[in-house]
Amino acid sequence: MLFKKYFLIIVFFLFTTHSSLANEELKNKIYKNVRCIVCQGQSIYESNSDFALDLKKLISKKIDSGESEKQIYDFLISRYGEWIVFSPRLNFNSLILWLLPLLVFVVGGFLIFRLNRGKK
Amino acid sequence: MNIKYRIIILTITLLIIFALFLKVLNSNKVYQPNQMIGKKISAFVLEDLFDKKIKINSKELLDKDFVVINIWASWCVPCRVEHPLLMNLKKNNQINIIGINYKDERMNAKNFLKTYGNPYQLVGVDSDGEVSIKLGAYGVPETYVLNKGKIIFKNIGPINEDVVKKILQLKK
Amino acid sequence: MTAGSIGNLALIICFILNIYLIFSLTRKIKKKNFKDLKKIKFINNSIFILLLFSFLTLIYCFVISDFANVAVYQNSHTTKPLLYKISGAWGNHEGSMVLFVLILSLFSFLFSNSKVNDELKIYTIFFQSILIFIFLVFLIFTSNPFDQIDPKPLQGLGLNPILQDPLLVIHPPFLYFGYVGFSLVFSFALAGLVTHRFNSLWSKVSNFWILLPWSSLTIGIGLGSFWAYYELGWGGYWFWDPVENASLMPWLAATALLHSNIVTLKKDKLYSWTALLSIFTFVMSLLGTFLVRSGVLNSVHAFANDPYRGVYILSIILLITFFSLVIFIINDPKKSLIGNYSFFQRDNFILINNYFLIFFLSVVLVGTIYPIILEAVFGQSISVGPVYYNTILTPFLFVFLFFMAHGPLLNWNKEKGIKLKNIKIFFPISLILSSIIIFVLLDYKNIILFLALLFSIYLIASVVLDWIFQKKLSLNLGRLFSHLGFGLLIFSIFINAYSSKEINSAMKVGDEIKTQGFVIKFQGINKIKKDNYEEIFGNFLVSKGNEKVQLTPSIRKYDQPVQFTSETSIKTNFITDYYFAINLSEFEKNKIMVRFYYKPFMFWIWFSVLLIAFGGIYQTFRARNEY
Repeated sequence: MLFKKYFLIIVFFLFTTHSSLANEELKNKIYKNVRCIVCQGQSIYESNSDFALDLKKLISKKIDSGESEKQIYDFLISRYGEWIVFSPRLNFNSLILWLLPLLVFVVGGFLIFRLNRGKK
Repeated sequence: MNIKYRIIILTITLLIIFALFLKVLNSNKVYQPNQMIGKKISAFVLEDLFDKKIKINSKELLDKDFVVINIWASWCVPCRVEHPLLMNLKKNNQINIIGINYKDERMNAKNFLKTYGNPYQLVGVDSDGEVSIKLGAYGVPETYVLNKGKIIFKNIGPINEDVVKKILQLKK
Repeated sequence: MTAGSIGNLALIICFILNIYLIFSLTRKIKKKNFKDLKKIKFINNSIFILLLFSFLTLIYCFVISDFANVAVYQNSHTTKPLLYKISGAWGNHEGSMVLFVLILSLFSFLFSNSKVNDELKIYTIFFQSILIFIFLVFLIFTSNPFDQIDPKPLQGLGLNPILQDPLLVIHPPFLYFGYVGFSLVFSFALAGLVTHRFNSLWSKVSNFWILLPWSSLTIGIGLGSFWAYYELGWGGYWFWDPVENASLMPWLAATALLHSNIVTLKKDKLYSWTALLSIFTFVMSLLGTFLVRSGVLNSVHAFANDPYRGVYILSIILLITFFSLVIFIINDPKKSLIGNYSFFQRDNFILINNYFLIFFLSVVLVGTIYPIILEAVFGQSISVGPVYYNTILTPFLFVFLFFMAHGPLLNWNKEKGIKLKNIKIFFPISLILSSIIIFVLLDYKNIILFLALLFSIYLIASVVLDWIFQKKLSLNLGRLFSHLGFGLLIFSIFINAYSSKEINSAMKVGDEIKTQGFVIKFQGINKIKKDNYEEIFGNFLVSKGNEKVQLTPSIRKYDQPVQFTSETSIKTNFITDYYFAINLSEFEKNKIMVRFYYKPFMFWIWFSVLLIAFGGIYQTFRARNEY
């Protein structure tokens, strides 16, 4: 009986420390991906401004209460717009962002191909 | 001629680029996210500035047609600048404004209102700024107009005559 | 007469001389008189000397703290150390514009005193002088550092302490010498087009004028990145920040130009493309200038935020672009592609990688500009960060590395297939090496990391093994160093990216943290006081297994203006960097925030940039001798 109790306690500790470690990593990951909108181009991870610190506190609370990364981004984006999150989400605007260079690649490749062909 | 054709395309392209960047240079630098327009505000409960026992609950705002919320602080210089306009809204137009005191000391906030006047019907204390973030604010001052709990107007920075006009228009 | 007014006078005399020079050149060109360049050279040299004098006068004004000067007043302070008073001269918009024009003139000066066909020389100096004219107008009438304030202020507004750094003293000059230096090959290309002398002789000469600024720009970018690493305190060294991108784009264009020029030199083809790239590279430099100075950007280190200047610069850039491209269109050297064409030829591989380089450039361009335009025109906002660049560039980078490894091994002429020796020997070696590294030496196993290691090792192996087995003695050492450097750079970047560790915590003196295989002990603090700041050092002992490293990061409080900075403590054993930074805590008054980073291979990142630059410098000297 005693063993079982200790076993459970140990497992509990391991679980919480492991998940608190994972939590820390997750928090840092999110901080690096959230823009400090009162700063110039920094993430809230890199900023010590009031706004950044407030957001960090809020996000930290949310993670500790079990919210997911996506939920947090949704929360922020619904209040501050797409711009607050660094990785561009896939929507119409960002589609152009990804497609434009690829278009250049394809067109360029086509031109080179024609160049190669024409000379034989 | 091939040459003329190319020059024309070049000219048009550069003119378009010129126009685009001209627009960029003239655009507003302050980030005005209008995400929250039309959305319901998050629920919040704040302690009253003057009496800690009184709680201001956002639920009470849900059925009102017209509510103005102003986020301010005693340490915020632009808040001083917009303050007279807020006083006018209260005196001349009988608009009830709910103030949210953002990351401030109660003493300082009370002194501020004593010295310059209190334009607010109620003042809630948001000492860590969390409620303001929930509302989608990112600095002070900011002013919101609500209709039945939904945000119908948001102004970032101090209000001016134009904003006052807009607020009065919305009241109708 | 104050020093400031003398400096201003020098600028105005330059301006007048320059106009006179342009008229003289126009006369000579109309008369087709390309002989007797003594007078032209004399005026050109004088302009350079005067600009140099003006620049030195500006520095002097900073050194004596002459606050009647607007530039000195806004950017300096009597208590600033001498070195930073001097570098303050070019650390602001107006002063750096003087440097900009000075370098335009410097290159003109160097070129006019070199051995080149007279007709080409006249046209080149002509175009270069027009550039100087345009920027002199901008300088004197909108951004004059010698503007006076009356009454003279007693004290300056001081410079940001973060910018008071020895590295930042030399970073701008290297950058400017680089991207402004491309103005010369720009003018030289226009000259070649107009005189129809765009041929392999042109390429032979231009080689030097491309390599020289390219090497300098490489060093400049490396310095900026290194500064960001130890100064900003977050362990990063490249953020795809718009200002960083502004310097990367000309570098990419110039690298493409460099290689395309080699093809025109050796194979007498690809002229259109090389001419176009010569123009395009300088246009990218101008674009960078615009982005940084016009207030368009939202960045940690964007310059003057003045929209009127922005309109000026925008107009200048578009005019220069327009006229140069018109010249190109009218005089397009059509004799580009002659002879047989086979896939497995060196020039074809160079062309393919040129194409990749331009693709990379377009990615950076889109990533930097698209959000700006989207915001201004459509009111929509979008964020472009490292995730975008890394995702889109990485797969193409691997293919690029492959072509880069193979190209130099091919002949310039038709080849009956890829040298089988390479596939048989180099590839398996690379495969084995990368497998060993990833499975045995590293913790993190990931397919992207594996591919990155595979292709970068393949490049390194190709360069090294080819050098060893090389029978001919005419070896291209410049290429060897630069390509080797690039392979090593990619290798180091990926190892660093996937094996770095970080620990964030709040500690008070005496605390000890054990996590991720590290033990960090906060041993104590000590304080010192200097001229313009007070500093608190934290003493930390970091242990990993048997390895113990002592680190002393600090927090500084400057007095003019009052600002807090965090100074990192970095120790390297050449394999890994131990990196420590501290900040005051907002929430807990007796604790401080600590950040520890374990960063493998950082040294090799810096070393490989130096290697790349060294290859360029070596080749610059060889090109000089050859002509």
